[in-house]
Amino acid sequence: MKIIYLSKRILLSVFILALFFNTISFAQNSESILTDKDFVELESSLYLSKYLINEKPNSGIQNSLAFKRELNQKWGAVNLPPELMNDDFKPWESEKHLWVGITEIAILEFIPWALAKWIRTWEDPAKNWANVSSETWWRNISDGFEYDGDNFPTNNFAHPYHGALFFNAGRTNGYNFWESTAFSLSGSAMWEFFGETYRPAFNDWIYTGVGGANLGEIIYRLSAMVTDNTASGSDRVWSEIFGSLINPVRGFNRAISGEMGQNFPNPEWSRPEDFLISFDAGTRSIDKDGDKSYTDKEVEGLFSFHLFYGDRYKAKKPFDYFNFNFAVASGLPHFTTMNSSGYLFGYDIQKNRHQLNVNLDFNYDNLIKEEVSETDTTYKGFLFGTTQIYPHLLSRFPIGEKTNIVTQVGVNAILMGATPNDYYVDVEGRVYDFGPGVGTRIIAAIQNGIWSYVSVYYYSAWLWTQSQPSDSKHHIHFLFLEAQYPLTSYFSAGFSAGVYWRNSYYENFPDVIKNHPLVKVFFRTALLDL
Amino acid sequence: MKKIILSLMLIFFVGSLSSGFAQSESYLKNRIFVEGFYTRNLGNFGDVWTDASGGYIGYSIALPEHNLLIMRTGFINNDLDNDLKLQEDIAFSDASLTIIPIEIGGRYYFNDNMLMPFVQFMNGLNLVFENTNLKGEREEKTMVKYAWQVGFGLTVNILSNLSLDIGVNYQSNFYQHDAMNTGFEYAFGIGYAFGN
Repeated sequence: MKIIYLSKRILLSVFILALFFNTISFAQNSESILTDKDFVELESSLYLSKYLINEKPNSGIQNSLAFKRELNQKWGAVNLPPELMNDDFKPWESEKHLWVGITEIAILEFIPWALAKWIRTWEDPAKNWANVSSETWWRNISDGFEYDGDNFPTNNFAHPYHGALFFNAGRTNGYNFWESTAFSLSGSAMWEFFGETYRPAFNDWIYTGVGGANLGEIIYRLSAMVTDNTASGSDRVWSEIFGSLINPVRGFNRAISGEMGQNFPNPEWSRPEDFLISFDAGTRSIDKDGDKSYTDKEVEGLFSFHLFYGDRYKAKKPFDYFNFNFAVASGLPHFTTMNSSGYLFGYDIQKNRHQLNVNLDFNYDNLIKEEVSETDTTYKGFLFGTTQIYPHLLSRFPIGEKTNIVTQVGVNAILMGATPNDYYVDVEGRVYDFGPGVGTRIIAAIQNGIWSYVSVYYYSAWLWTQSQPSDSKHHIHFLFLEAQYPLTSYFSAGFSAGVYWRNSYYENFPDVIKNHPLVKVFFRTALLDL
Repeated sequence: MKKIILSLMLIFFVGSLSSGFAQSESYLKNRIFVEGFYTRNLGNFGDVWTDASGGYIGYSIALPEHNLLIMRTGFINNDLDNDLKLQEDIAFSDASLTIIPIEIGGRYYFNDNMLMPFVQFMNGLNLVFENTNLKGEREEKTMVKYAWQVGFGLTVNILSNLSLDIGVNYQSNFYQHDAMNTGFEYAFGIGYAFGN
């Protein structure tokens, strides 16, 4: 399972090679289509667009990193004029390509398996999990699922990423979101039962299959957003490079189908009505021990990236709206947060006011590096991960011309959650446990435009962990208050304070209560507001 | 068991090729159905509970593009291994393991003809009622465990409103860490669509 990183490298290499060959076709394509007159029109349209963007010196927009495109131009309009589009070209995703999808899943399975089987050097060859045979296959089918011993980043990040690639073997071959989820679930099941000698891991199946669908649809939409079918030349090359870096499977399919070298209209859905990227830089202080003495604090730099895609009140199809947060810290663990929430389906109770929505969420919070000694079994650290469904009531209450109170009240239906387990030390290094769970989430915020002046966030979950000690229960809470003040239209300062706490109940061991207060001070800038 | 799987695969294959039963209306309809099944259990679980049999009752909703949403519940009775039953100390003589599944899932049909091969995935919760009798002490336990199965089969549309289903499914339901409820299920059912 750890060799997923290697498979990523190989995929990237293959894709870069494909890009190299397609770069030639970009140039050829442009030359064959454009006449001298077209070049004059194209240049004038480019210059006109650039001129228009810089035409508003006193609008407060020109010097802002956060700008609204109010130029009545559609995405890609700065490039080829409409009359040069190849309207006869049939986009690859307009038809379903089952066997291409199945072949791509087979390749995605084969690469990591082959690396482990023939490339990797094993100190003890008997531990080579890639030595599969009909005997190991039948054993896995007979014994069924278990929970594996992988560490938190492998289970909660690497597996969803692998699942995102499986998902896109369907999604970028003409299948919709729901159908593509079958690709990630079945791709993961094939790997678990037949790709390793280990018993299949249930946590892997959920994180890869369902977490992969979440991450997969996000990278699918972002990749489609940055690639511009109407562009040519270096603009096109860079748009294809970025799109393929975000979603290698889509890049591969665009390469083999010839889409990279064609000019045709961008799909309507690929350009969201609202899109916001903001970036935080600040410092965070968090209590490590969680013993309420507050003596062992860690102060660290924290850099966060927030992405909001689409209008949540107009979403109709899965992930028409989603948000994605990513954070790195100067202290350990550096990769500390990756959360996302994507709209699946919903019902308008009152248009633009109250909606009953169901989201698919993914949470990765690795806040404090675990410390486990052989003499002291007490676990120090904090992590939390879930793949979950989030049915909720979303409401908006106007309190000013552009100011609203936005609330969310819902249920956390956790398909698979990960939480510290104070008495579980796996031989492979896992120091946490898995299980399904249920809880509540309440969010309230005063919002104006892209800013939330004040927000309150409460999340709770009961997790019933499954490995050992048996019959363990964990009640987990997050409570945060955040405030920010916009200094300019694109820059704000803020702080947040909160607490993570966990009550763990064990049948044959003493119960454990942990309490980790947290304070954060930050500056936030809106990098891109479309 | 291999013969049964091979036979079903053959039927599945023939069904997927059949396109000679053209009809004006779709056979994909909302249906109520009943199914009976036999399960050959596997692994450590199968060493103790060798077989299972039971039935499902459910309702299926036709969705676009040959998809079917299925909701079902039922009753499953597991059979204790004969060797354990015949032990002289009769430790397990009246042990029982019954399950009530509550499941939701779907089917994808490869065509919309008289013979309709499909692949199916179901999942949900098993209400497990375990009654063991160890060393003369009776112990009853009720558990709620995740259940899932995947398989393939064939729907034969005898009439526009009446259909027969046959299928084989692999299941790996949760039970105990070292004894998951794995097995192959062979199912036969009848479906009926109300109205047109």
